[in-house]
Amino acid sequence: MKKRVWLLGFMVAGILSLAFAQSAGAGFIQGTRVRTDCNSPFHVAVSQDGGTLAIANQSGHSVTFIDARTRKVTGEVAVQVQPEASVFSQDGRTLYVCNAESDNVSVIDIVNKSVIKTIKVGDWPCSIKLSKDGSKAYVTCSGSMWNTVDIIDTAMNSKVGEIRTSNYGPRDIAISPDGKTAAICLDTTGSINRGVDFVDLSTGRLIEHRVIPQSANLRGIAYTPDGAFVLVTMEQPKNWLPVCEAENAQIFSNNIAVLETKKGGKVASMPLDEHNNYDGNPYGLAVDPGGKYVYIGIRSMHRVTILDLEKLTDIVISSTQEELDDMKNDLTLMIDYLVKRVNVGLGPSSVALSPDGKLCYAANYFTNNISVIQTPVE
Amino acid sequence: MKKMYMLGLIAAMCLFGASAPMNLANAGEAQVIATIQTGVEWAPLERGEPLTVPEVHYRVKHSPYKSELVRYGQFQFNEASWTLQGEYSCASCHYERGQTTGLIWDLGDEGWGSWKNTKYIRGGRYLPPFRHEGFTGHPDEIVGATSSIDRVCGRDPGFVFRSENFSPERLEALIAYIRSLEFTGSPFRNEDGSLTDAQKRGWKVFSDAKVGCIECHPGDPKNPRALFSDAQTHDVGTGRVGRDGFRTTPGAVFNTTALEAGVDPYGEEYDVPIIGLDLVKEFDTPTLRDIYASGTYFHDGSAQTLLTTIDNTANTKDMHGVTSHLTSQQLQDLVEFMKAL
Repeated sequence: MKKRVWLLGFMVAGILSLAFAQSAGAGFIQGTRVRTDCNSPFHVAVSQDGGTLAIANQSGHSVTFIDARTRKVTGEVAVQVQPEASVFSQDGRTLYVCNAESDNVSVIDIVNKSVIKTIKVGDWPCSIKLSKDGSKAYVTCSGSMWNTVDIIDTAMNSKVGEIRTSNYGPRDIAISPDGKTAAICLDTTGSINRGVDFVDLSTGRLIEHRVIPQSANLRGIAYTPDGAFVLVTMEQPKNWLPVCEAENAQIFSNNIAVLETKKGGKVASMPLDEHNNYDGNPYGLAVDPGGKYVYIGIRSMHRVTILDLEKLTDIVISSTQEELDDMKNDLTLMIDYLVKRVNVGLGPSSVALSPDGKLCYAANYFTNNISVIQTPVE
Repeated sequence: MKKMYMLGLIAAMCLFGASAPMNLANAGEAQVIATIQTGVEWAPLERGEPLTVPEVHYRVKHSPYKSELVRYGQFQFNEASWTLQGEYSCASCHYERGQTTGLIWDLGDEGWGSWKNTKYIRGGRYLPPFRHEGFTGHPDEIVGATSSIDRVCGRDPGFVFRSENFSPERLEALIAYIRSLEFTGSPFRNEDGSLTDAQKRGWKVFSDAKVGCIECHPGDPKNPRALFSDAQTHDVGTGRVGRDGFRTTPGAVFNTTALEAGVDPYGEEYDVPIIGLDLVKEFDTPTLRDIYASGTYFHDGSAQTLLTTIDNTANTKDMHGVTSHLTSQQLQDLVEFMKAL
């Protein structure tokens, strides 16, 4: 009898522990059907008052909420498959989450920590940003043969339109400080000259497509606070060269593209690499609201690279396009605008700043945590 | 008593001195000041440390070790510090989604000038061989996967990564991850998974024996397990062997003639014809599953779009299916059908 009770006890404990493991952010390893207990935080968003962080867990298929002041987890909400980005509504009560593999957006009521609606969008939604007045959310649908930025009305919580981009793979979107223009980076599979669409948000029409020559893996885009430049994290492939020539940026170099926003403006691809110290796979970026610094998550080297934005843009302003073209492979340049490389957890895929710019949060994919970085902002 | 106060004051100042200056000195300097753990703690093994997870477990469906093995493989896949200077990771070419950037590389192990399109590796385990020429691979998919990755990254990772070898155990983890990647499925079908009208018309063309697509890409769109490949090699007119191998390339080129002449071979030259040096004319028939996501196409990436792969103006000899008699509407329907796979 005793044995049976023990056995029953073990079985119940086993079932309970399994159920618990699954409810605590367990999901599939990205792209597979292999279960994992790792939630793999892929993206971090900060509420407009700076009080709440929302972490999109790519393998956990969930969003974790954190009280930014106490730095404690306050809840977790299950969404659909592979959330890759989120944005807070202006009043901080709602969170919109892009579920990349499910091709939809979850709308979360933050107070009740529950999904109140799921909105169908295009293939592989992986970034979402609010319009300046907060009335619309723009969702980039980055599928390999997809070219829309879907528009969600945040009052109705429904899709009300779409922007057609000039090529496939819109990966990230930034809204200009005046709210009139969107800059959309197109990570078009197969192209070695990917680029940025500038779109008039009042009409949804393309103003200009600007090519970033010899570019691939465009992952993040942001405006500078004065609206004069957009910055894009990218890799520069030299894919006609034999791959044994890996040294000295002969195969891949990691860069930040700096584009003047005026029509026909200059395009620079400034190196993030130094000799023997490359910034392999730059991902998400965030720009200091004061305009002094830019922060980049270096996913495959596990650090956040901080650049002096003024020095970076000064180079672009003071150089001709021809001179800028010569700079993209110059590994001696980075030291001129590098502020610091800060080691964080493993796989920082996304960074976000507190509203005052004094704290930078990095979502560390592999170590399942968030690094809080004190920035150089005084 | 005064002495005691003084000593207390000094002790307090010392304590303050030990803690406060550290903060003051670091004010304004960027640093990690806190870490918020949002999930289970996870750390990769040290480089020199052998994996303790037995290799055999990734073959066992419900192995408790499988998850850890695949997760470790995923980490290595996204890790640039394996390269000589941290330049890139597997994900630089195969994306973090296990897909492809569609970039074309001269891997060199088939001879210089033999450019290869970056392969889409989702669902790869279903269809060895794994190289475009069909050189590697084996009826035993595991041996095939091992030999394929082993050839590029394992036995001589110095070639691609200019780095240390992966240990056999780490190679197994990498393979376990790649083996576990699944096809994504098409976003272009109707909501209920059925074919759209254009896709149905395309299926009719596709399955027409006179056009011949289905001969090398056999499969039924209703069958979710269909691979649409005969796993054989065929000459579809893309091999660049000998005189026919000239092509124009954008961007910087590795100029073999310059190398032979002893001058800098890395010319920033544009529109320079260079000779293709493929060793064979027959290439592995790729699966059409997820074909919408796996561009560019053909072994050398010479087709940017699906239409180009079947367009008879690009393929004048009707070597990649017999399509020269099709109308532009039929070609477009064929593209729509392929997008549904």
